[in-house]
Amino acid sequence: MKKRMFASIFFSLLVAIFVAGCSDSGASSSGGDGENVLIVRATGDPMSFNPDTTADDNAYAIVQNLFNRLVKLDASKQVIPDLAKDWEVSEDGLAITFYLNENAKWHDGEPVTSEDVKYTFETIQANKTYYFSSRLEIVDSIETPDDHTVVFHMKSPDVSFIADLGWYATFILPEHVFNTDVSWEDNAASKEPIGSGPFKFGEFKQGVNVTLVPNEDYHEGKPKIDKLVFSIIPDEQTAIQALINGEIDVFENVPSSSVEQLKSRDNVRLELNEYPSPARIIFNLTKEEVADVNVRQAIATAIDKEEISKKVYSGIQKPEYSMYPSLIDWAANTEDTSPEFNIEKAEQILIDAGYEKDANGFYVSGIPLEVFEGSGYPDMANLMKATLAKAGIGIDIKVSEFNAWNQKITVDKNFVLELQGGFMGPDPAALAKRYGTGVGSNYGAYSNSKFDELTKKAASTGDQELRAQYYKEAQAILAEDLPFIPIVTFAGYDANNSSFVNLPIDGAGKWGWAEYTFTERK
Amino acid sequence: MKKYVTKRVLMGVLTIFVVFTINFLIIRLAPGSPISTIMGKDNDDPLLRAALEAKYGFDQPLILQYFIYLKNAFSGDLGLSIIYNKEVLSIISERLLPTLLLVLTAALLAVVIGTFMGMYAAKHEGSRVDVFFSGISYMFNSMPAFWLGLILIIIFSSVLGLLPSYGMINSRTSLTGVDYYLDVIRHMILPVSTLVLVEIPIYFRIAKSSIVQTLNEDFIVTLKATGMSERKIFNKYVLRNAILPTITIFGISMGYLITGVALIEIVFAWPGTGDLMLTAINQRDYPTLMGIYLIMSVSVALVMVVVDIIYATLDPRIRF
Repeated sequence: MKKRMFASIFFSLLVAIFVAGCSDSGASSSGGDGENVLIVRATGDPMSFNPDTTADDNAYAIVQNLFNRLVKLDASKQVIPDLAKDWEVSEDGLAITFYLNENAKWHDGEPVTSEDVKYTFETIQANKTYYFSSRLEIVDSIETPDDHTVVFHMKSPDVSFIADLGWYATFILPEHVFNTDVSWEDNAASKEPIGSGPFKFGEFKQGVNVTLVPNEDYHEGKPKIDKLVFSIIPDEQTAIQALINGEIDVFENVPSSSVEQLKSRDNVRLELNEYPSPARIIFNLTKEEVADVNVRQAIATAIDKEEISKKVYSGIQKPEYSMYPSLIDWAANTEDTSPEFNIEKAEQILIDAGYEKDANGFYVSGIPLEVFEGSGYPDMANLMKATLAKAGIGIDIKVSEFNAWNQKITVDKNFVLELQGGFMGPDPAALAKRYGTGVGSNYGAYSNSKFDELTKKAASTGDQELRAQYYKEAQAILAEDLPFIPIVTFAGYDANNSSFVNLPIDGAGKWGWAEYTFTERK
Repeated sequence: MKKYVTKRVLMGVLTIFVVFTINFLIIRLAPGSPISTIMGKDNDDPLLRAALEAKYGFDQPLILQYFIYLKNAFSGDLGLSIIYNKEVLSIISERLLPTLLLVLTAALLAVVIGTFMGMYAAKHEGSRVDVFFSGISYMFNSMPAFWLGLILIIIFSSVLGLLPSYGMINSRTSLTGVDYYLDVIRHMILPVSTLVLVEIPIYFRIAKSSIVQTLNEDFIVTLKATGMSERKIFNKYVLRNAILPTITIFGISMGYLITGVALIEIVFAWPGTGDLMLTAINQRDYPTLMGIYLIMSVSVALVMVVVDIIYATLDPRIRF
């Protein structure tokens, strides 16, 4: 018996060693045939390869390499040309004309024309379940004077529409493939996509990876890598080890706790990637507890943003005071901001407003703060709770899983305070979408007619200076009313294999923020 | 025997039906919905939400949704995944093979190694080897599997550079034939080792304690008194009695086969059903979740019936 036991252990060890040794380790970056393969970490399966039916984060990076939009956003989150090489807005703001690139072709060889653009947006407009559909309600009609010119006729002027065309679910689809009896969801091309982008679809292995191959005829030139693979690794820590070992090459937004560890590695290049998506506390203004602006002022004054930035995000996500992200510097108002941290002052605000301390030393207490699990949010909430308590404000932190949190906040609107992030770009018109009277994403039901007036004026002019002025005035109103408090900016390091150059992060003003057309090995 | 088996099978079917109903309700009563996942993070457009709810029939009363689903499930149609717009059966079956490969390999290794270790330790109770085995087994038993997995990745992938850290295949190369299978085996070593290390203690302790217990039974003393050889007593009488709990544990672990190692699958980016289940929970993909739970309850029920029958065959005390 003894012999057999040792024999079996010994045997399994032998097998392990034999197999481990029989092929070379995964540490080499090039493929078996000397191919240049770039591996990007993905977090999960894409829902579909139709980029316009849903706004799916797992597919977003992939479809940006398969399809084109009229315009796109670069690494600095500014609008740059894509299929439209140029565009102009009419004097009255009611017509936006796009001039398309004449050389663009679909992956099956057909030319990309203005008819494809018209077909794409008209179909989205007609299908209420498609992500961009409601945004297209502002469009009255789409006209195609020639093969390479598209004119959007608007019901009312809105220049921010152009920037929105460079965001989710606005990719141009081939009419000759999709204009059939079946819906986009059920069309075979939603599983094996035909686009006009720098890469063609290769293969999708569920739960494993998505492989793209270069489009030899791409109108901006053939991509320089031989294969682009999006490899699914759900766990962050595993992905970090895989990056260190050279098993993946691109890892977007590494957790701040791993930055120091990666900095010491020669084979890893770290670049800071900033987004106009600050973490913020939203007040539900329909709730009695926070209906008084003095309470909101006091809370805003008793939150130590510096401490949160340092302790939770190692200083990578910086304190944010501006009511519109300071990253977009032409539009951010850095004078009229949310208040600086000062506990005595916070307490004084409450005393002046006539609040009195209860037996436990609180002026106000039991205010629930809804937080979802992850992104360091529960830690952030705990630090806030501590400083708020010192100013005599008691909050109760309620942590839930994301989907449950989402239901509570965005659907049921059943909260008093909530902590959230979310994109405030690509254009400051996002302010109106989040805090305008009666709009969907205005969870706290903020309403101020002066604010609405200003954002409306800002959207109807193409003059950037004038727009900046309106938006800064609008932010001054927000700073006074405080329907929300910005806490910290959103930023994270992109970690890349240092032997590749011209990655998406290097492309400000040149290429899209998830585009690998020009990426090559050093 | 026939009557016994029929009774067991009927109980199994009833269990599956009850579990099915409870699952259907619990999943839908949980806050959140797949609509939020489809709409994308941080987007609330009431028009879009209403359109999507109508499309997937969520505006219908729950009881109606239940009967529609039940009817389809009876005809073998588990429906389409709301998130991926793909047959639930095809999604699950694509993920089934990797999980079976991983879990069966690990379970067989663990049951064999653990039981042999337990047998050895029981025969030499109190020896140095026994103390060593028991100590090691407590150590691995108290380790969280996902943590152990990560540590193995750091040691064998990052520091020693011997083994790949994630996945089932190397995404950089497109291997075929023998090379492909060797690549899969290389990728299996770390996740299988993790599972084996955390599962060995279970089989080790079960085997050891039940053998020690059997060795102290009166009939063993009687057998020894008859002059029968130790080896024969052990193989023919002790083992046969002591192996029953091991079979139970092994059987139960087979029942939870398809979802039981979800965390390990996540850590090693292994494309299995456990990973699929956790993703489906986060996305509230009702049809996929129902499909996984259905397969899970069927396999648990099936294993229970099989274990009961094996028991009856092995243990002469169990009569019908």
